[in-house]
Amino acid sequence: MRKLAGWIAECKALRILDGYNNQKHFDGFQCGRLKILILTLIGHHGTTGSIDTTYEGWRLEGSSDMANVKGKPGRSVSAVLAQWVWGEQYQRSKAYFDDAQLKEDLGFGIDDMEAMRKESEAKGWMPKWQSIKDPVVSITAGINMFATSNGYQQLRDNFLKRCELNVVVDFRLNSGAMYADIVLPAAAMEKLDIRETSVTRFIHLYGQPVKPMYERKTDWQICVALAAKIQERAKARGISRVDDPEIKSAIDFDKIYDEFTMGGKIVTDEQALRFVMENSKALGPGTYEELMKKGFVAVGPSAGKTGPVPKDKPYRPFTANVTDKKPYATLTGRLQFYVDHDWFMRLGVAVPKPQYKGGNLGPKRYPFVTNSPHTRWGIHSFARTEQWMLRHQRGEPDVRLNPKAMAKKGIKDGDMVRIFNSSGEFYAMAKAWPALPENTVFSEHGWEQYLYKNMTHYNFVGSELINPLELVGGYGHIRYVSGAFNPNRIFYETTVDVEKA
Amino acid sequence: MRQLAYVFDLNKCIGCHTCTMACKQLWTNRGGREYMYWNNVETRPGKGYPKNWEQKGGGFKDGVLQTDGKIPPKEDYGGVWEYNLQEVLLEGKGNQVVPHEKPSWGPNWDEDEGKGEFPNNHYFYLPRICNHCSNPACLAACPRKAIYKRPEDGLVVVDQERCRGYRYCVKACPYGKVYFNLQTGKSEKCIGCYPRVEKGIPPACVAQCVGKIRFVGYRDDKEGPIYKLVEQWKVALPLHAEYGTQPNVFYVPPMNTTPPLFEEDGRLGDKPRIPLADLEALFGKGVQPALETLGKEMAKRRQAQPSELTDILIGYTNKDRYRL
Repeated sequence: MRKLAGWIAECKALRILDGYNNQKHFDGFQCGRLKILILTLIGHHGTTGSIDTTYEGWRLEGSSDMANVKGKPGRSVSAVLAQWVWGEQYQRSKAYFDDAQLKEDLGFGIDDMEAMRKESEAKGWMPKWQSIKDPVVSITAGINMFATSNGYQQLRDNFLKRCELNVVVDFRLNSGAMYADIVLPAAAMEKLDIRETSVTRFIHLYGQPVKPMYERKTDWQICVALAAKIQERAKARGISRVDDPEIKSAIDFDKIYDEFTMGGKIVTDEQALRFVMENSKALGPGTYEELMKKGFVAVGPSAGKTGPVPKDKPYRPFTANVTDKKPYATLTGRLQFYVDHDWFMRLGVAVPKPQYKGGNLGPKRYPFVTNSPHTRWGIHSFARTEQWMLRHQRGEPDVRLNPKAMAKKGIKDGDMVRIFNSSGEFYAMAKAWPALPENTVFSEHGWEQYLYKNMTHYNFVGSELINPLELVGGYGHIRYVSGAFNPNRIFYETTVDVEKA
Repeated sequence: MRQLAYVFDLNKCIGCHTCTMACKQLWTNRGGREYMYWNNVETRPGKGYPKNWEQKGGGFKDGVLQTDGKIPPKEDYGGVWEYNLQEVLLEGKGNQVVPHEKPSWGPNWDEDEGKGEFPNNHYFYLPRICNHCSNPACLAACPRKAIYKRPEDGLVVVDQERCRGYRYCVKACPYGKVYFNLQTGKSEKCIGCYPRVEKGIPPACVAQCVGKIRFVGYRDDKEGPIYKLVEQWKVALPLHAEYGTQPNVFYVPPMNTTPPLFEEDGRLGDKPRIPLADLEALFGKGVQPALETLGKEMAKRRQAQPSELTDILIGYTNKDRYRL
């Protein structure tokens, strides 16, 4: 740690890039604040360095123009809160966590946490759709939402109880499709699919080596066709406007296709992509043609949300505020470390500091902690069932353990083991990995449920905690923004035990 | 005879196996080759592919061909698992997708294990293809003269017309890089993608490498990266030169870029994470001077001074890395 601090202090430039794993720990939020404090103290923030996240993305006005209908705000929910409520995760967390231990570590237990969640919803800090409505119709594309959540089986059972029609859009049978009423076949490769992330200034074209087979359609075409059919049926049945008083908006079902396609202007994939690119300041006219020709295109200066993207120099976020002295979008307009919101004061983090002494928040009666970061053998669950990939692993789901910990438990490399806690269990082959601390059970993510013995899954043991600080709103910059400020899924406060199966 | 050669920079290998998949897709996904990986990536220290190939014997001792080499048993190449996806997902039979046999070994079974104890463990990746040796043991062992070096590029190939499947080559190759095809009854191996090379295109494993760790060109091309890295800078070394086959794949050994070993009190010490002896066991006595040269040149770049060596190793464009 001292060495790392020394390197940080001495370096000429420093950019901290936060990946997804940070927020999967309870203290991820405070760590984020502390990283900005470090950058500021050593003078790199917004000048020779900065903080950035892999999921920040560029400012492309064309995509928001396409996604929204003017005058009719759309509904946005926090997936974590929705899954907490619809999955009845409160009961699961209540049964799993040691409340006395949590109170000692954090100053609050599961009941207090649930009360704060309700208070946040009641005050309008966080969206409360999940407490008003059930997910009667669910359409998910390219994801098994149960697998990506803590408490897979708990969410699945309680979500499906509330859901009348579950539609899964995918190009393969992922384990989410097992629970679908309808599977819509998607195109495996989308010719006009582009990808952007603020880790690179280039926008890439995916290309389409194989044309969609049978009735497969691109995701955009599926949405357009659904909108067309809904409009047709709405007109036939005389259904028009349905109000959504809570967000002062409405959906006009008899105009849904017209609005979705902007009056028939963006129907094809090409029209949609052109619209996004040509209506984004950082791209603009001509960039669609450039992308088609070269396969990639660089974003212009205005793509940066907190500073320009210089043509010949590295992009540094927050230069707009530091160099150009533009006020921050904070309550005070300054880079604000002190937050005197009631909850921040109550939980002792008015200034950035750890919320607890460290260690793991899961019950101490289970000696191991879980860790399930991104796999190297697929893109999430995509390609996890591919046999060439499986032949390069253990041929079936594995968990990695420290060899000393294995010896203590009488587990040999290649043995089938059961990983369990009071929430659930799963089975996997043990693999020795000396790179792990003795208390860690490591599973790469993205495994399909149907690869596990007894249809279990590594997220069967996962427990859910919500950091109340991430429920705060009504305080300047600390307010709900979809994809920016809302509760994180905290995966890594789960403890388990392991035994030879 | 001109000799085509390769340099693999192990400091750039991320162990993604894209090279392996490229080769598999092009050459070994069919016709009795399913178990073969003409290109594989193994974790070091580790047992490798085929399992324990360094103990299989073969090669030359004092210039004499060794005849005590073993044919690795099929299980040492690892499982070629097929899955019942169709039955479970489409026909509703059973509720678990499983391999057709219980896995007990695979071509990458001991991935990332390496040696040592947390937090002082270590490992690195070693991608391997046929070394297209200048003195191939497989060629020397073949009583049918079915194996020859192509005069135009020195690539070692097995004439499938002449081969009778005696497998002396499988025994003789000390690197375990000649395979027996049970369907055709003949021996097969990496062909250096010669149909691509003839068109001026690098081999599939080279072209697809995500980390751009692979350099390919002719040994005698003084302007090319191979000559510069092997002869001029002496930072690229053959694997197990003591086997006596004069390999033409050279490796830039791994620098200890990961933190040095932790001391008892938690402070970072000054001992290298990968013991020098372990690297010397693979790449010989040239390791230390190579690492010193690399260290010096990298230090120059950190001081914002130019370094020809780091420029070569970065290999900015395909033209810089491939000269065919």
